Amino acid sequence: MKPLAEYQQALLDRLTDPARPRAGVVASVAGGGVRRVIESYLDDVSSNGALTLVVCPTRGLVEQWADRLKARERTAVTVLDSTEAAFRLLEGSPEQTGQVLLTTYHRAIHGPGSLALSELNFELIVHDHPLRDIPERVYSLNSRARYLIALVDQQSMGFWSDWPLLANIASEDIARELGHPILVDVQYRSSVEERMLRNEIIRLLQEYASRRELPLALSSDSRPALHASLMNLAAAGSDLDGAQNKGGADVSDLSQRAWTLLDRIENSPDPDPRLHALDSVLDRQLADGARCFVLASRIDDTRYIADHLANTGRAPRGVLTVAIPAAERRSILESLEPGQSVVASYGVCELLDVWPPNSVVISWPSPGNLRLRGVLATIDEASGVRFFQLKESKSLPHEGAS
Amino acid sequence: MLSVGFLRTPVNLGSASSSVAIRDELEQSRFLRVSQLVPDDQDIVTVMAGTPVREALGLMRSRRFDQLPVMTTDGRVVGAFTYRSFSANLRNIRPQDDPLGATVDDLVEDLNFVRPADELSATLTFIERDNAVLVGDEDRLLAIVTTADVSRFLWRRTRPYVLLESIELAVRDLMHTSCSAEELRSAVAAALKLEEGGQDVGLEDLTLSELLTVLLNGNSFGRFFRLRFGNNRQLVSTTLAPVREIRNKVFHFRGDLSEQEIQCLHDVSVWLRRKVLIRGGGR
Repeated sequence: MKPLAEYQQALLDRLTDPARPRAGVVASVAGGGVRRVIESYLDDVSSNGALTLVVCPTRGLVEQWADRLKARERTAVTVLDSTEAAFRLLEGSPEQTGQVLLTTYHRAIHGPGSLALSELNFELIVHDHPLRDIPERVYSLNSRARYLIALVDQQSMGFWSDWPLLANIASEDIARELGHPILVDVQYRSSVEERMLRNEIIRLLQEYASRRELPLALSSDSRPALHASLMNLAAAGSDLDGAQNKGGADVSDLSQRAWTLLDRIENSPDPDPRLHALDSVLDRQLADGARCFVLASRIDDTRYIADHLANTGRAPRGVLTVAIPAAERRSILESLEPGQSVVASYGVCELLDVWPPNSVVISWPSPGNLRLRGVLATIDEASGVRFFQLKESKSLPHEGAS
Repeated sequence: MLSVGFLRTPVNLGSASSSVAIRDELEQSRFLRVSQLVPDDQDIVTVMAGTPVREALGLMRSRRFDQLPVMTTDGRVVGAFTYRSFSANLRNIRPQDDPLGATVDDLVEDLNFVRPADELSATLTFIERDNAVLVGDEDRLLAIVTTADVSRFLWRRTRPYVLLESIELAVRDLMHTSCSAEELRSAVAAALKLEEGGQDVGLEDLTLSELLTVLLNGNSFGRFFRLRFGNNRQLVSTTLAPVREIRNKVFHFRGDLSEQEIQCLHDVSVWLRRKVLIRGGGR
C-alpha cells in the first residue's frame, strides 16, 4: 500500500492533535484519498477501546467502508444494516466498544437502528458525505460524540460553515504528489446516431430525476448502464406495477418514452465503439504478457464487458466486484497469469495492497472518470502499474480523428 | 477480528468462541424471529397518559395507525389505545359525558409483550387475537408489530419467488414463440451439447442457467431469439445475468435480497412482460 502523501499525513496529524476542535470539516475533491487517512485515524481511536460511528448516505458506501476496514484487519467492525442487527445492539451485545459501527443516515435517523444508536456514546462520529439537510436531523446523535468529522466535497463546504475546516484538499494538492502513474488515453469515436440516442436517453433520465426532485446520479453512460436505467424508468411508470413509482409523481408519459428508447437501444445495428477500443488495447497488452485489469464503475458494465470478452475468445479470468468475498477475490488475483485479464469494479482495486507484476489497468469510460482518479490516488509509479483510459473523441467520425 | 452483518468472516473451527458464533448464527437462521417483522423505518409513536381521546384518534387517523401505546411520564407502558379498546370501553362512559373528552389511559387494552428474539410462530397467536404485539417490556418499548407488518414481511419473503417465476415463464414463452418446435430442439441440443438421438429436452426441463445458455447461444440468438428479445444479444445477456445470480441466492437461502435486487427482478419482469404482450401472448 502506498504510504500517505504529504497532504494526507498533514491531515492525520491534525486529526490526532490533542488541541484539535471537537467538530471539523474535511473537504476534498474526488480521489484525494481522505478515507485512507480516516482509516489510519480509526486505528488510533479503536486501539484505545473507543467506539466510532461512521454514517453514510448510501448502503453502497457503508459496504465500501466495511470492506476496506475488514481488509485492514485492525478494527472490529459492526454493520448496522438490519433491524436484527439493531436489536442485537439494543439487547446488549457484549462487543460494544473497541469497534467501528457503520450505518446509513436512514437507519441512524429511523427505526430500531436509531433507537440502538440513541443508547450509545461515541468517541468519534464520521459523517461521510451527508446530504445537506442531515446535520439538524442527527443533532442528538452528534451530542453524544466526543469528536465529529464531516467528509464533504468542495461544493458542500458552505453548508458546514459552523464547523472549523480541518483540510481542504484540491486537485493541485494531489497533482503535487510526485510519482503518479502515467495515464494513456485510448480514443474511440461514436457514430452520430449513437451520440444522439445517448443524449436523448440522458435527457429523459434527467427529466425523470427532476420530477422526483432528485439529482441525476449517472455513474456510467455505457449502453448497459443506460439500458438498466431506462428499464427502471419504464417499469416505474408501467401500469403493470404502478406501486413501484416510489417518488409518487406520475411518470407514465416518461415511461412510454423510455420504452421507445429501449427498443431503439436494443435494436441498434451499430457495434459498441467502446468495446472495439477495449479490444484493441487489451489484445496488444495481453500479447505482451501483461496482467490486465479492466475497470468499470458499475456491475452492469463489468458483466457487459466480461460477456463480450468471453464471446470474442478473450474470456477473463474472473469478474471481481465487492459483492464477491475478499478471499475469493484474492485467490483469483493471485492466480492471474501473464496474458490473462480480469474485469473488476473500481472498489475492488482501491482495496488492493499489492498489484501483480506487469499489471495494466484499462479504465472503462464513466462521466468525469471520478473513480479512476480514486484508484490512481492509491498507486504510485513504483508499483509499475500502467494505466489506459478509454475516452470518447470529441470529433465526429467524418472529421478523421485517429 | 469480529464482524457482524453482511460480511463473511473466515471462522477458525477450533476456537470455542467461533463454535458459539456458528451455533448462534444457525440458531438465528433456523427460526423466524419477531425482530424480522419490525419495519426498518419504524419510529414508535406513543401518547402520554392523560391525552384526550379526541387527540389520540386524530393522531391515529392522520398516521393511519390502529393502535397507540400509552406511556407514563417515566417511560412505562400502561397499555395500548386502539379502536377496539375505545369501542369496548365506551359502555363505561356515562351517557352525559363526551367520550372524545375522556383520557386514553381509561380506555386502554393490554397487548402482549414479546422479545425481539422470540420465535415468530409463538407470537402469531397474539397478533391474530389483538392485531398487534409490543416488542420489549413495560419499561423499555422497542417496537410494535402489527398484522400489517406480518403481511408486509410475508410479501417481502415471497415476492422474489413470484418475480422469478414470472421471469422464467416469460423467457420460456418468448423462446417458444421465436421458432418452431424442431428448431427449438436443435437450439437446445446445440447450446447444451446434447448427444444426437438422445432424449428430447424441452425448455421446461431446463434450469434457468441452462435456459439462458440456450437463449444466449450466439448462433441461436441471431437466428431465432433476437426477434423477440431485440437484436443486441449482449444487452439481453447483461440484463438477465443478475437474475441468474439472484435466483441462486434465493434458492440457496443466502440471505434476504436487497432492495436493489428486488428492484432488478421487478424491472426485468416488467421488461419481459411487455415483450410477451407485444408479440400478442400473455398469461
